[in-house]
Amino acid sequence: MNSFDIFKQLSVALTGFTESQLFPPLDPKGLGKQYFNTINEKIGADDFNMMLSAFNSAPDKNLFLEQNLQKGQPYAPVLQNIIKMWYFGIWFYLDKAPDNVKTDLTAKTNTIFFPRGGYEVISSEAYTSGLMWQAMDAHPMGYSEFKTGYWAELPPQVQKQQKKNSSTAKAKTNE
Amino acid sequence: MKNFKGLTVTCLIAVFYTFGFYACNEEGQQKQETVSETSGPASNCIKLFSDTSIAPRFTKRNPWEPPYDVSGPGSDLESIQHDFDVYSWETFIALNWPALNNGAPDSTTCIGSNRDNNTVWETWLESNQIFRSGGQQPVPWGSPKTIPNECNNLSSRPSKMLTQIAKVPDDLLQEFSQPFNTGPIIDQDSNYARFEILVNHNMFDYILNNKLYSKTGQQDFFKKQDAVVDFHSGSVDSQKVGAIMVKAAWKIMNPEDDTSRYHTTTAIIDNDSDCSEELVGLVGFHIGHKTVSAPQWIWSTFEQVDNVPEYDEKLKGPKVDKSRYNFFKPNCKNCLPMNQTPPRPWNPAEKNTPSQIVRLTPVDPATRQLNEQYHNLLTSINANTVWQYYELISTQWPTDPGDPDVNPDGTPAPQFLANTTLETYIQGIIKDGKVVMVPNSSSSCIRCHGNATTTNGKFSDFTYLLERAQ
Repeated sequence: MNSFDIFKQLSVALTGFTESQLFPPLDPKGLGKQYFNTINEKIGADDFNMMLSAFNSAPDKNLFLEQNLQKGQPYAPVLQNIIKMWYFGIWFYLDKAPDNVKTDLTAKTNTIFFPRGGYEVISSEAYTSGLMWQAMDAHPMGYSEFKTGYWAELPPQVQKQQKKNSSTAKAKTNE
Repeated sequence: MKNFKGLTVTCLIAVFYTFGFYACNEEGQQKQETVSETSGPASNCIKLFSDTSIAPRFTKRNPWEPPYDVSGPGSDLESIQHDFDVYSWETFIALNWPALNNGAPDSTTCIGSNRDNNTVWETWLESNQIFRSGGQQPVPWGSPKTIPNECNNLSSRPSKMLTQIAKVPDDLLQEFSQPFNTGPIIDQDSNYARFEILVNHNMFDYILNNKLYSKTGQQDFFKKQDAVVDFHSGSVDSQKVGAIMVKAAWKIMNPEDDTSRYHTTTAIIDNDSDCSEELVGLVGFHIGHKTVSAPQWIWSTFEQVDNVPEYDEKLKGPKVDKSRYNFFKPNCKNCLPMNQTPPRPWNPAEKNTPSQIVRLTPVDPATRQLNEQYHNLLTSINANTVWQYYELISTQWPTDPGDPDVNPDGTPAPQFLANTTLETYIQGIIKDGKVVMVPNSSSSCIRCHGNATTTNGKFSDFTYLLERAQ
């Protein structure tokens, strides 16, 4: 399995979205690749690959994430950044910790990262495609793909759920 | 991208001249026997266009019939894009097929066999014939172009004389500004380019039958429960073409222009205060077609090949490879900055500063290769055909058309698409020498048209035309 395939699995596990939602078979936006390249660029291929290998070789991937997302764990800042990247379309800046911090913490990784403060929007498409908008059934400020007049109606997912509930109730009545 | 160009075109040309258009393979021959029994030039044409190496041929049909939909076998972005690009070319050829007086395609001849020809789409109704003052009923399908009062002097000329001048029916070109009033485009002779929008019979019928041509009609339409504007879709199953609208950009021809490289016609140029009759050349051409597989419509866009140079990120400027362009002057120090709107006032009756336009997104290499294949096909009909001087810029289509409620724009591919004559100033921006696209402000056919509404603010099914109702 190559590192991009592992990144796909990691992204699914971190976001709760399916692979076909994050990496559609027909993908003109190519956000997954864009994010993969961003991490490589920001933290370096060595550290990124080491983290991906650790995730890939973990017998229980959910447990691995549960443990490594905890504050103080060496992979935590990068893993948290990946979640935020998918949800917000933003990369929060990380700095490398001095060597003595690294040895104090753990020897699991080449480099320890910690949040520096500040961020950058990865791309305009990344911002408008952030998963938080889907999760909220909303849209970013100044940009909506919904049809004109949507604001006067219930969000699409709520409408769908209502229809589903209604048909289930109808089926039960008929029983 | 399959490269059949050398084999196919050489084969077709050789066979054409040697044996009179026998198809190059058995599959093609079999297909022809089932498509038409026409003889003479049309028969030759059918054989030529049944070349299966460029296609997928979407359905068995004649080359003067637009494809009903795209249903190619592609499974990845590149191969499906190729199918859509083939669809675009086949549609372009069908719509630009020579027309009979009643507007039907002339099945006895071939596109460009006489170098240039009148076209089917130019016989369709123009927007101002459908959306008339005071919400009047549209003129009947097949009516001649409507001449406004200010142009009566010209229209009083004998129609025969106009017919002799032009190969196509008289045309009326009023519009000169672009979407969202982003500005006009001025050619190298300081004249404004002109635009027109026309719809096919199918789309016209829907507007007429639902009385969507007037504000009152639109209000009544939406009184019905759950009423939505829903134009007919092209379908392979029913073998029907759906609603089609086209937008064309024209430039006024002048003595320096090589008219043998343009589809030309004589048009009445209306400047409100005065009218003139001019020879105009087609420089830009949009086609929008609603189909079953693309409820967000399929958007094809073509340009005349001499319009503008392409931007080169390495050069951080235009890659100039011609001495004359329609909307760009090479080595010009006093010209407007690249892709800047001309100075106001924008009065099409007066000359204005020529535009200095550059295409920001280069034509994709695969599309460029397909253009070459179709150019070869067209020149095998007539080496001097004007249609060889038109190129497909790209085709935008929805990659995820399935659930318009949740994903209304269907995630279009390519994400952005602009015609330099029709979306001149919303192609994208240049930042640090690189071309950057910005959602909502850089041109995307589907995303933009997804915001179109009727006069009472209801979704109008990807057409801005319904906003013109009075």
